Amino acid sequence: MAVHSPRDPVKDTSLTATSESPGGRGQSVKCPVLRARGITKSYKRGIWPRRRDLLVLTGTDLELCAGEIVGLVGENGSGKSTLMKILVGALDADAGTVETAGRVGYCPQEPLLYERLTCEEHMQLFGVAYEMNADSASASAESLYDSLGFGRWRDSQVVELSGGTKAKLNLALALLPDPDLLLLDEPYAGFDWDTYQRFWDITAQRRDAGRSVLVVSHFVTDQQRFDRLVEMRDGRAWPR
Amino acid sequence: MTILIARKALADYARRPLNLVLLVAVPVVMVVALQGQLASFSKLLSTVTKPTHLEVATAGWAAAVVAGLAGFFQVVGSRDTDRRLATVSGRGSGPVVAGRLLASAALAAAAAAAALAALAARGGIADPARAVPTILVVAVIYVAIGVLAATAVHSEMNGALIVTTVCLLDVFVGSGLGGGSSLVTRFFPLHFPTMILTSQAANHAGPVGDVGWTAIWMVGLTTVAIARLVVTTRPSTHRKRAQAIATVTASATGSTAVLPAPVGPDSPVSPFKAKPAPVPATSRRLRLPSSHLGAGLLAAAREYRRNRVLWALLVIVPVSFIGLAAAQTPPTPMPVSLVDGARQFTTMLSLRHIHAAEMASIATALLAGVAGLFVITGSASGDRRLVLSGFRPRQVLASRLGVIVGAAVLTTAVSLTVSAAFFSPRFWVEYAGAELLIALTYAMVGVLLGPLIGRLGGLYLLLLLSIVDAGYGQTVMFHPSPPGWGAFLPARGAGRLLLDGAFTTGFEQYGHLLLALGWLAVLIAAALATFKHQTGMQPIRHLSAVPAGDRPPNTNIDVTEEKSCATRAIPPKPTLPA
Repeated sequence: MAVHSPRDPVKDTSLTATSESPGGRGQSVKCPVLRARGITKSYKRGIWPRRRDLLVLTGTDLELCAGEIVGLVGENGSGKSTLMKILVGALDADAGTVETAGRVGYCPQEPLLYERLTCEEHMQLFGVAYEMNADSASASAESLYDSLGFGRWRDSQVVELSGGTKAKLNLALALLPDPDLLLLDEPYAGFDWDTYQRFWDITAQRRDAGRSVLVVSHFVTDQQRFDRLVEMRDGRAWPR
Repeated sequence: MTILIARKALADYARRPLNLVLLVAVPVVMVVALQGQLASFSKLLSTVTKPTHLEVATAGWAAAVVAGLAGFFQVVGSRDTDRRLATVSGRGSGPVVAGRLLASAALAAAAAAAALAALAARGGIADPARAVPTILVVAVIYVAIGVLAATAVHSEMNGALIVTTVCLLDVFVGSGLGGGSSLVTRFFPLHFPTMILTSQAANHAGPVGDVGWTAIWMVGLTTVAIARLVVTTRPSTHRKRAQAIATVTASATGSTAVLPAPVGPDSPVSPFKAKPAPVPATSRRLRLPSSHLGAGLLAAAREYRRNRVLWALLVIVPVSFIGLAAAQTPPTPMPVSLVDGARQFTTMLSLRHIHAAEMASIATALLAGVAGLFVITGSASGDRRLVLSGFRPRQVLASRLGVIVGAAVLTTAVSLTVSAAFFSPRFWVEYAGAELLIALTYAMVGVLLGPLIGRLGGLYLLLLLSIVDAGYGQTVMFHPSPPGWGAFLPARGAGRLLLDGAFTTGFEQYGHLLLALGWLAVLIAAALATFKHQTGMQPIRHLSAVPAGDRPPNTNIDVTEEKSCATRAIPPKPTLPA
């Protein structure tokens, strides 16, 4: 990966260059799989005549290469989740461009699920959404039930699940299509220790397979698990 | 602590804009705006003869609605926190429950005060000695009902619907508008209080009297509500046992520090028994179809089917609204203006039949609207994610609309079945078609209101609209023709078709059919635009050369393959600061 000056925001450094994937076991990859440039976003706050713009993102640049695990950190309210929603298409930016390559999986911070559908029905429905065939969706779901350890709840409706199991289902729906780029917004909140370890095992396997992962977190405890960290500050992304 | 909890509960109530809107709007609508219609209705049914008596009753009903919802919202959102507070304080549930009761009493007083203020503003309080205490008692009864609902259900929407439905039945079918003669309505909470408010003497109160029964209702419901509050806020006895085990364990090992034991389903010393998990065999459910539309439709249908409150309403509302209302209406002949064979004429029809037909349209509008509201708002967040995952917004909308249309058909069928017990329409196809048009129209109103003003706000506006539009706006019970102002409301066309189908043999209402279809088309277009705006994001296009669905999970992809990028360009906004 290109080296960024600590004082400079994350810039477009290797858009055309072929670089070595940090975790890609020596495979040569084309960079990047995600490229965001000049993202700005402001929210309207207050009621007229005291209505004002709250500027959250002021021209954020970010890119991810294949086979890279990147942590997006920052204080509460620094714009991490806003940026994540813009990257995934859940929120419109005021200006800027977002480019992605391959399939994108998204795990939102709050589980966005249907209360009265079961885990299995979620897997099937999102399998159809991802245009997976029934067999591969089923195989992927089985693998995720096993690896995240919530197979016994497969026939339970979401309204009957604990917070931790909802978080597992939330993550599993993002992992279901085996996406090239995985965008995770505070994915392990609510996980127990075992599940937390399994999550990192899955993430490491994905990196080995050349997939990319962007993890949003307000703090990072296991810094060594990331290939690099990007910090949101003053509405921009800075290398850390 | 008790005072603090009560103060915080009241502050929480005041911070919720919907509460304040209801506190002002409900008394104004019921006591001032709708009072004339309600008086005409009551006079027609010969229940309350003096308009001033009904004015006092409407104030009581307004207090009931506001108090019931205030009691419900005060408790439903704080159940778990209250239990936690009772647990950590070490003083049990007593102070917490006392705080809630204090807040409930204050909310009942506020509801009664708002209703009395509206009554005073309208024309003064004729008999304060009777009105003030009785309205206060009505508010206490409904606060207790609200608290009871909050201790029984977790969903705000379902609970609010339950409280509102109980209140609607009490008002529209109870002793004020429905007459005090029915055996069934004597068991309604407001039966005896309404008798007092309308200065009617119930000849079935026995030695206890109307006042005595009113007091029994108030004390009884309050006692049950307190008991339920104690149960739902009481600290778990399991926790004490777990601490005791921890103490013994630590002492046995010779440790001087008594540490709290880890408790929880997986703890070795946990006294909890983990909830038995379902059998992890293959799924019991049928597979979803492979097409987006088919899978979305089936998933949406399953979600709707599993909402028990909607099923309960599907039975309770038609049976009570149509059945009880028609059963209590005298078969008095009424003049009604109709068109048959291109000839307009006025004919005498049974008031009971007219009432049954009109109540069917209100019940249908209400139920279909609620179905539209529930379906569209209950799935909003999941739908956004589904769109991000590959569904197109129109596919998601089509599956939601498919379920809503199914719900409208089901609602229509139930309403027709119940109303058929009281009269037989002369032109069934037109009558059923009109009912279906009302159902579809109001289902779309629900679909439109949900994203615009939220679930609860949508529910109350829907309730108001269905009663004002499908009820008073299209009624022919007061005059041979419906009121002129109702022509501007969505149910006018279908309402006229309904009367035409109910009481004439031919079909001449082409203009009203076009009007009804026009309203439906406009509402569908507005609902489409709203939904598109709600979920209208650009799903990321899949440009990988190898579809991920055909790959086994977590296999190495050929990362040397050059990938093309899907670009989402966002045009700059010139108004942004530099």
